[in-house]
Amino acid sequence: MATVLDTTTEADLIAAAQAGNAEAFGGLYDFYIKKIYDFIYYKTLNQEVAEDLASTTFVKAWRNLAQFKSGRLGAWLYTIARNTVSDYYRQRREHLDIDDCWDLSDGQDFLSNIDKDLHLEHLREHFSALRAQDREILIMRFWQDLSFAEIAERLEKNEGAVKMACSRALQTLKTKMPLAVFILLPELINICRRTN
Amino acid sequence: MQEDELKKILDELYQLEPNLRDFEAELKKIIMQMSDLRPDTHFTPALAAKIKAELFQRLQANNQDNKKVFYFNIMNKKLIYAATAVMGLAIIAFALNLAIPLNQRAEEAKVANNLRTDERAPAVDAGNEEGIVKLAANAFGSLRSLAQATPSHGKMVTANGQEIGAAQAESGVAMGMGSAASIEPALAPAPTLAVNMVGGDTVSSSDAGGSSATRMVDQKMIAPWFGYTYVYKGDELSLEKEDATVYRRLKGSSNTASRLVSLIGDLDFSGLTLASFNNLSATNLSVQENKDRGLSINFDFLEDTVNIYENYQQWRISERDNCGSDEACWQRFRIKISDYPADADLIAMADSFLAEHQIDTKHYGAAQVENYWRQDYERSADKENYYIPEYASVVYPLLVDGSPVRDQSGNYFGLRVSVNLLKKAVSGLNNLSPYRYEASSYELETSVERILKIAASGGFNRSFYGTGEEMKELSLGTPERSFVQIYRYVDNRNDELMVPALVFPILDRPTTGYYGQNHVVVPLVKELLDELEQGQGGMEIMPMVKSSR
Repeated sequence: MATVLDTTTEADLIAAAQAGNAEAFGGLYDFYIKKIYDFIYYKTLNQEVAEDLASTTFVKAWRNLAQFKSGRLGAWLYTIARNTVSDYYRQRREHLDIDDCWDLSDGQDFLSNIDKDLHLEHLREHFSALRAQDREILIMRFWQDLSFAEIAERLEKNEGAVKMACSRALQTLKTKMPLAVFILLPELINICRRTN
Repeated sequence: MQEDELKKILDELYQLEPNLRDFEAELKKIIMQMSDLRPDTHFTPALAAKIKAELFQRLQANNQDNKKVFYFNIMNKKLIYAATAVMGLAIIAFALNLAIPLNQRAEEAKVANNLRTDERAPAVDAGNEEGIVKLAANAFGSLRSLAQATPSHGKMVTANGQEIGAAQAESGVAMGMGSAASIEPALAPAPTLAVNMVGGDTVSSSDAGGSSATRMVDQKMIAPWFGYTYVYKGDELSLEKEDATVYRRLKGSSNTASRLVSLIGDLDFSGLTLASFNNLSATNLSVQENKDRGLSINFDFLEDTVNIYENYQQWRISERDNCGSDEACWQRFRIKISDYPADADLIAMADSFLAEHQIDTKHYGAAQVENYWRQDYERSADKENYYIPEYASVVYPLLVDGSPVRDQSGNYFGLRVSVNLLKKAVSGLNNLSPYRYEASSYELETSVERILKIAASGGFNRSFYGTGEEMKELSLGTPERSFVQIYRYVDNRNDELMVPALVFPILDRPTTGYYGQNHVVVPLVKELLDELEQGQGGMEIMPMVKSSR
């Protein structure tokens, strides 16, 4: 699977795909699928959901490729993926605050998921204390190994602002984690239980 | 996480906030813990193949339902030769389309807008050489629920040399492919247990119940994140009751696209004849120069834009490509501040490029060099290691009806010429499009108080700079009346609108911390103000659905 896609190759593939060449679109898929899938997985923590939403993301990309005009495709795909996840939660959890009840798996029992993987419990503990924006930046920097510049591109923000947000998020984790875990998490679990 | 990667992250944070070095041990621990918690996504090549197979099944089903998409194999040599032969014809066709009588375009616009004839002003200003079609009032429908979608403009170069939209880079506004309903304010409210900055000396953290830990934390640990409010200190404002024109760029060279297909329709592509398909139109065309520093020219017939990029293979620097892990090698190719061309030199290069290619600039204002990176550079504590972009942008502001167009951060929007500083040559051009607009009047706000209230919260960029643990006050000067480009994403289509707005200069930009804008922009159209006041029009960062609990 490709790890590097230079801008011209990408531009060529995009142009061909925009002309209807599915093979070219497949080339773009090959390069971006892991990034997009991982990104969605980190936001849903469910393999089946991540598979489905990743596929949906690329279907949307194909259908709307004519709208893509310039810049890096990655940032555009991330935005589609983010909105796809958002729509997914919105359709299923309209009465909940997704920011608080972070990334629950549809159709799954929240606690049973935690039982399967204690890792996930720690994740929720840590991340529930953060602002949504900061959470996303940490995911991209520490889990997706994107540089701050790449994150800035994907979030369409200034690199300095992204670094600042990261710095702030780390500070938040340091100062608030204990309280967030012991006070917020039980409430979150109760909220989430009511929805499953 | 590897130690060198950890060091790189910390160094980047220290560059922004040197005081964080005092807490390096704690930061390391947090980052390592975070890294260790990375979940296994279970991604495998087999999974990628499985998703791909499902994806293409879905695409195939979609294509069968929608015959507008056709497929051909660009790897077929015969096709490449044939396509090359028609490229020149296509360019001519595109050029011819620019000369399509305006009344014909107006008729097309009528259909596209699906408005009753009696709802329109009868005037199709066929004699208007500026190409503006006048429509009845409010002809674009509601301007609310603007998705602020994909920008084709405002490219700037990030630290890694990639181009991003300047408007978004500065405004924090992101595009959305989803429905307008998915748009929410960019920044979620601060979580409970917020850290409060008090007096600039200490930071206290208290629990929600106020019963236990209250800890004093050295403020040095916290990189400041301030919100900003704005106080108007300019001349007295007066807003007359009026309607004013909103412009929408006409897109969709269906005629060109059809002509192009007719030109190639009889060619035989390995037995495939395009004439066997129905109702075809071309969506885009790419051609490229195969020479040193050659360019790639992309015609987008749907958006009616031409964009030019580097033909990458022709711009490669083989020595740098082989630098590998040789840091000294990479350093040799870094742009130094002393090497950075003067603005006049960059503009001269851009002017020369436009003249060479006979690109008409009569609808664009005087060229300006975008030097936003210099603001960060000046604030940087480590200027020696500051990454200076390898590309410079020269912008010729678009003039609509004689007024310059800006983005939502107040930066000029228009024809953008990129200069590759390593090669010392123009390497790209963006936003070249026919000067064709529809015009319709909308009611403007006349309450100065309301305008200043929205300006006080940051105008279009209120979401990005309007919140923070501590609010700071900045001063606004007398505004300039201008047009601001916004996008409305409707029915899988981006409407590109130019709306009247006031652009307030920020008189006292912060000298510390991150702050990336020079203006506060407030639209004058009433319903856009309504939307801003109601907190819509921003862009969520993570999926948020507000709680009913």
